[in-house]
Amino acid sequence: MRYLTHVFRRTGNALIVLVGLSIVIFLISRVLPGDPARMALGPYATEEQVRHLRSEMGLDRPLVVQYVRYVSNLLRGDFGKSLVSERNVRLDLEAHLPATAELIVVTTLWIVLLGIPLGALSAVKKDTWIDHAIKAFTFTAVVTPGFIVGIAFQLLFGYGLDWLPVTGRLSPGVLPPERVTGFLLVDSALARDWPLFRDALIHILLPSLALSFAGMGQTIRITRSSMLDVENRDFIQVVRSYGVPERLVMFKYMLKPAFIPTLQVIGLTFASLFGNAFLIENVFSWPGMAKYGVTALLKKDLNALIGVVLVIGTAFLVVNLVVDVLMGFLDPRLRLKGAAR
Amino acid sequence: MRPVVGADAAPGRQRLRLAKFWYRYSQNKASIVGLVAVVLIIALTVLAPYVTPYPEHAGVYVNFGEAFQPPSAAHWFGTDEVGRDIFTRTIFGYRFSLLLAVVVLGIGVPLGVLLGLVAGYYGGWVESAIMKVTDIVLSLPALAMALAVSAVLGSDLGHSMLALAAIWWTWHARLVHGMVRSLKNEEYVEAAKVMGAGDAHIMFREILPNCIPAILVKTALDAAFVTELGAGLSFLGLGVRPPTPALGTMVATGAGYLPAHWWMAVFPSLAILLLIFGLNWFADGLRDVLDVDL
Repeated sequence: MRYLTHVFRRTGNALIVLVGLSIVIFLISRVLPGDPARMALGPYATEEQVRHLRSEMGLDRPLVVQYVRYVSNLLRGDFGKSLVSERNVRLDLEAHLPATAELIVVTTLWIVLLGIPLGALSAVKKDTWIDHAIKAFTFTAVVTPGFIVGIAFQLLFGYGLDWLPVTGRLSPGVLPPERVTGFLLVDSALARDWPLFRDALIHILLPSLALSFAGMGQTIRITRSSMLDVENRDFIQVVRSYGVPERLVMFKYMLKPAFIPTLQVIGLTFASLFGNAFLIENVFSWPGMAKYGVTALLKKDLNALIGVVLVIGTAFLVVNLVVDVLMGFLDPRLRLKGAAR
Repeated sequence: MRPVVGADAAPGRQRLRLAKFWYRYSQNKASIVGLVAVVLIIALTVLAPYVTPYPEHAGVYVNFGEAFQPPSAAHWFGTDEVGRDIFTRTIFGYRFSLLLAVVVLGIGVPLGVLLGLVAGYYGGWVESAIMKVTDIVLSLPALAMALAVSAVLGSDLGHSMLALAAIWWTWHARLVHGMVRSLKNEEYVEAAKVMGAGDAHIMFREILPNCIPAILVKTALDAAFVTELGAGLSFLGLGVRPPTPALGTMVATGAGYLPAHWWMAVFPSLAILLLIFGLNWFADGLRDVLDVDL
């Protein structure tokens, strides 16, 4: 029962933030740039034409009415027309989102699959050269801008060693698989087209690894510190004195409680992943949403840009909500703390 | 009563305090390297027109005969696609990074501290409103937000600064809010209240001084983060207009000429890393001296 309350409270919170986000974006789009009708028509339109479009767009109505209309349009999937592609922004987003989503999912895999073991290793080998080496890597990974990591990877693994391709999702001339999910790795596997799968895989390796560095560093840090935190607790002493093998103590009794803060950090790095994806997609000519967003930005395509920001904000909120709910499930104290407040 | 910090102005004492600070700071080699790097970069940036070999290359300058020269004694970092000296442009490029950090933090930090103080001290609906807005702004990736604002207002240096400052206050609001919530129950705050001190006095003279160390360390770390964001923005072509040099823009241009003319991207990248690492190490040293746990 308590748990359900926790879930409802968190969902309600996320919804409030989402509404707030839509208000902020609405205000940015309606108030700041001056007159959207004038912007849409360009500087050479007559006063008459602008007035006509204004009433057509409902811009002469009160702001509250405009906001309600704006939100109901969004809910019906109408993001407005893109100035560049001249179609509904939703279609553009659907075309570009899978590439970004695939990149981010693979990146998150690296963060989890490499970050947690490295953090655990660092904790287990505390104050040895392994720990120091991992710490040095962690610091470098956290503070180095993603696009510099990307360029370093390109120079080293692409141009220098010639192991991996440096741009795009597929080799030039290779046709993408039939679209089911939009994830090339998944779609090519579904089609059992293994050469295509391999091509997609070697293309995503460098960008996803470059994008994963910052989050991986933070995951290593938090895993290490929370494992060391647990190490001195009484229950670990008890388990040890029972003669439980050290390996089991490490990976069952220490890693499990350490996982809760780790999960929270992984959820939080999700936001920076979307931000950094803007830069990484640029470095690797990855045809994703960030690249779409940058093009929209340079062309002053307001509707497209708002679509990108909304999708990013929503994705971030949903992930945080899922993390919150999962954490409440893993750590009962959190639900109670929320209730007491 | 306010805890007395450094009230004893006797010069001998003062020197002793400084010596103690320096001792603690210098315990970590990396902190010293960081301090040297940051001071060196600031000095080079301020003195850029006098210390760079070709100051005219920071502006409108074209000499195709000298284009794509690899690093040499005449051009330490080589030359770019129109024959400009990359070393000169790198030093001038630091100006954008430092200016951005100073302005963004100069606006964002005081604003965030003030809002955090008010929210934490008054509580109630004021607190809910301020912290809810903070949550919303924090729910967006800083870079995406900066992009959106630049898109609407047009991309130039002023707008990029405004966009980042408009986000930055949230971090400090959250930090200070958390501290104030616990500090306002301290006995010396109670004592000040009993003595009839007003809200402003308690907030700014009793509570704020105890938040300063944490704010300072956070600000130093932020400087590195703003530098990174600024490099990212200029990498995407936002921030400064050509021919004014910005490190991110130089990296982006150079990335187009990889791998043949590698120096065009590599040296500005290393310059960015030097500043970011330096600021982080400096912040670590500050953390040791001020004994803050962030």
